[in-house]
Amino acid sequence: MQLTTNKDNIIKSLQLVTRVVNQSATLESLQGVLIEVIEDKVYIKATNLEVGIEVAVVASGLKEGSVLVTPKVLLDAIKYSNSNNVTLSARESGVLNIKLDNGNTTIKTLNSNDFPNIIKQDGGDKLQLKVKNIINGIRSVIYAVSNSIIKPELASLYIWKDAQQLVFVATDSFRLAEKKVNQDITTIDELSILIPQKNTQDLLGILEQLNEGDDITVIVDKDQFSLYTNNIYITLRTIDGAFPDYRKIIPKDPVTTVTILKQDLSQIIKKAGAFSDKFNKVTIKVDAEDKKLVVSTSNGELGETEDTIQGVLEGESSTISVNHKYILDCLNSINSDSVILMFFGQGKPLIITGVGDKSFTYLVMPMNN
Amino acid sequence: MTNSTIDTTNLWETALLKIREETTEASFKTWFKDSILLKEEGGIVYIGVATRIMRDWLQDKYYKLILKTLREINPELRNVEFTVSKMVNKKKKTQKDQSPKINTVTNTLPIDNLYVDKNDNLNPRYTFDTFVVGPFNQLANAAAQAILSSPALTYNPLYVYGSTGHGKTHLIQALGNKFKQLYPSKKVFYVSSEKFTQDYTSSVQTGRAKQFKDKYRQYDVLIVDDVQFIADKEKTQEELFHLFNALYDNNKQIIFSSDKHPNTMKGLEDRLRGRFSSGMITEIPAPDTDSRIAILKEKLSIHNFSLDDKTIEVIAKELRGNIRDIEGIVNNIVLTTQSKGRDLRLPEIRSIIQNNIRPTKNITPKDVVDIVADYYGLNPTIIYEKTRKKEVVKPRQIIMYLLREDAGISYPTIGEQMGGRDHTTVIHSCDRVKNMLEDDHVLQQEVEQIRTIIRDL
Repeated sequence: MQLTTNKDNIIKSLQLVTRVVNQSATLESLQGVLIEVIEDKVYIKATNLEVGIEVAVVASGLKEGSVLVTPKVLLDAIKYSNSNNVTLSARESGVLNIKLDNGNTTIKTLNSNDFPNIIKQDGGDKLQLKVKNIINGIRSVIYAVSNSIIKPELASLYIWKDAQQLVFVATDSFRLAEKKVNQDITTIDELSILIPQKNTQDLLGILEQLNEGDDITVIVDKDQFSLYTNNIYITLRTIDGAFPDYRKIIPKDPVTTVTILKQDLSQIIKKAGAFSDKFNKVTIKVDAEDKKLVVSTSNGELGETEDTIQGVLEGESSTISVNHKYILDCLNSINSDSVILMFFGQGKPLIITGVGDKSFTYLVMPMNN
Repeated sequence: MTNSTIDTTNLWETALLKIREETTEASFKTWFKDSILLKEEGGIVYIGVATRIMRDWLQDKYYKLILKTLREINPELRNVEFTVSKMVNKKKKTQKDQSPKINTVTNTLPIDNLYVDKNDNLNPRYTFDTFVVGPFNQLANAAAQAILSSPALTYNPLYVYGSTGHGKTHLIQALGNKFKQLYPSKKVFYVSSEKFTQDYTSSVQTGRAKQFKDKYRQYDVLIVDDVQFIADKEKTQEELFHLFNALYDNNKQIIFSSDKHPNTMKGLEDRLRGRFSSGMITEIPAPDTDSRIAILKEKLSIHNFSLDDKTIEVIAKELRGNIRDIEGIVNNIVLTTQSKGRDLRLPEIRSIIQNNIRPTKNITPKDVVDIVADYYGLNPTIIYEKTRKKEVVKPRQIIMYLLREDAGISYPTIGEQMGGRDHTTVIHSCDRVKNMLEDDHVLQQEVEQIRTIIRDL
């Protein structure tokens, strides 16, 4: 195998695929990335069996063949150099020679016999999505995905289609985050994808390295989900299962509605959080008469604190105790400066949304008193 | 299910032990460890793996080794196939108990009841395990079981009807879920007639009528719930009619549920009525007391909650009819008990029941007369007349019976309302209907159907 290519280009491609490599995989082949020259094409591939990625690289001086190398070693050999181009050539003795303008390196290769093929998905529904929409959707809700694998559906991020919107949902049953992203999809009527948390993180990590404005083609099938552009192919295992019909639990008709600045809420919750007990409990009280919102917490060992913010208030007085971490988690996903808190009475969840931004909804269940 | 006599217990385990010796430890752990034997059929062994990459890898690299190993154990085996299976992850789960620290302080969202499989619209919560079979739904259940053992051949279509909350949806969804389990390769689809109508209209509006047709024609089992809602929707009925024929001719099972017998459904085209009636029609009437007791116990056990038998009996007796009401009462009792922190006393339970039962609507004698006359195809005025024609006498007696039994109106008042009859005539009529009901099944059904119509008023 031999190829000559632009140095920055190959570094970028290596960094992209390295995202999925499990460097402590039991099978040695899975610790590496495969560089493969077939006819006039060069591919760099990696997989952890759940997620597979393949990047096509432009190169010249090609000789067919393939090598499997540890990505970190290869990157280290290339990146500390001013050289524009790099030439890789495989030696028969199980080493790869790396030639730069001012240096020459040989690294050991791994046994590629056990490196699995990344097979292109054939069947399934195809659709065109914007990279930035997928990133935006995943980022807005991923923190709410359940860490427990008892229910694989909840340990996954759920994507479905509602009219002209892609809806990203995650819940660990204590809170639920829903993000709607405008995305014109005409090719299919219904969509339902459940991506396990780890695979979602891998996908996000890969997509974040692409151009946000690009389009990406997506193929959805029962247990597989693939995305590709003209030079990148990503495929991941999804879950063939059912996500709860969560819309039925989003309550309507709040008894109390409070509008406050996001910044104020963030500060007051952070402060209260510092004084919360081991369950992270903070109490939010809305005083309808004095038109104020009071956040208080007490911790037997540290002390107690109480803060007040003024806000626009509608409805009756309400009190709710929640895990402060749950509130902080969602604030980055709200784009507007002001947020609305909605209370629905005892034992009912608290809903947080942005002012004038209907795309994001967050539900937090109360804590027992 | 299998048509062979090969003993598959430990087959794959034994094979794995041998394969382990032939491969490296790392390869074995990566490719084989989590695989499972799904089934063996006609000499073909089906192996389930977690991902497609694994499937393709085993197929490409280890096929020969696996088949050779299997044949060494049992020479009758002909082939081995690999499929991606959900079961693999389930096995993993039971292996390592990864129960995380349960957050007991924060309440959880009530999402357990809301799982719906997008591919078939079925809610996995509805199973036969939780379906209480009693005298009232024995027949419907038997029909469902017969369909499971030989789909599309015994009862096609199956038409289940009964009032709201008698367990129609539970039965047909359980049927769908069980079917999926028994015949994994077949496609099941559950749709409410309302959703079907929406789907159809939007497909016409967006010019995707062909896709709509193709979509529904691909299913091996089509379940249409609450089919009464397509009444008066001519185009949808026409579409359903053609769909019915297409599925029926291809030996696909069709299941309907409705709150009415096809014959009493208004706004339904005759040809569709005929199709509905062409298979098996079965009613799920209101559960009897024993069944209500069984249902109550089942619902309580879902909440890990128990009540003493006497209390259960009292609830079952006071709470007539609707299973949904029973569910509501159970939830209420569980919640109240939790908030009070002690067992409830009987009067407290009684008051919960009182507060939860919907007040019976005021039905005027005229309503009943109109409905019954309409049911028997008579002009209402004839009921009030002094005629003793047989066709009129029976409906008139049923009217009096219903007014007395269901509305609790006094005999003399009924007599007055029915065109000035003596109260002894009314008493006689009511007793007569009561007696006839005991062994006249046709009359039982008729009265039950009339009651349904009155309730839906």
